[in-house]
Amino acid sequence: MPTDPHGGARAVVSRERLHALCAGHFPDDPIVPGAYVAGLLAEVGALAAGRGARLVGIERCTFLEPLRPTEDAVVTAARGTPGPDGLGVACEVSVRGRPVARGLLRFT
Amino acid sequence: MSFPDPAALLRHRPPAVLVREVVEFDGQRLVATSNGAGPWTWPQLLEGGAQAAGLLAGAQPRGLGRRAVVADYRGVRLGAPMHAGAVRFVATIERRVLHCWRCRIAVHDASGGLLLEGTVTLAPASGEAP
Repeated sequence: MPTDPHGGARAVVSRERLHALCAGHFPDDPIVPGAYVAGLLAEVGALAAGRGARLVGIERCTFLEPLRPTEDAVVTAARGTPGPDGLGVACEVSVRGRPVARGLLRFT
Repeated sequence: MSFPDPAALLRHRPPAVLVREVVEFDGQRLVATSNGAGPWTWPQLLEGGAQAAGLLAGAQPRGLGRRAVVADYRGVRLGAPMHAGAVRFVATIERRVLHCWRCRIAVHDASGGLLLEGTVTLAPASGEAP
């Protein structure tokens, strides 16, 4: 997963991994659980936050449409300004350039 | 208190069914035991909380159907990135927002320690009557 010197990170999540996250959710219409989407945002957000960063919270994570395991997804993260509640990292997951979820995560 | 088997209400199937039994329910608050003892990652704890919230929202008058989806999470605070052991998922109705239901969720360990808390907003599935 590449990072850049300006506090950003970008990762491609394969459809195979997305499919694995959908086990039992749901057999007739696989959708990645929203909490697991937040987990993907946190993985890439941690890279943007920097070495040793620890996730302490999710300020918000909004789901724009279901994430289905039919294509690879792209997760991006951009580091914000540190504050009293920690370092905010804005994250997004998209498929074919279309955003499906956005979040603001807090790291210390 | 009598509450139907969560597995019969949820659209989830194993291994995605994280709640096992509803042990407290008063209409506004629901407490459920976990399916197994983990170890749990924080996304699994969050998902379990959402499932408890889904059961609670589904039990409201004109509540959500079983195809409801998570619209957002807010104000989630993590106590630990992982936890081993049985947990309890607690959901409390916060308010109704248009056709959606916002619930407080919390996850506790066996001794009552707080592992995770936050809010989840649940929405009817696209095309589903609210």
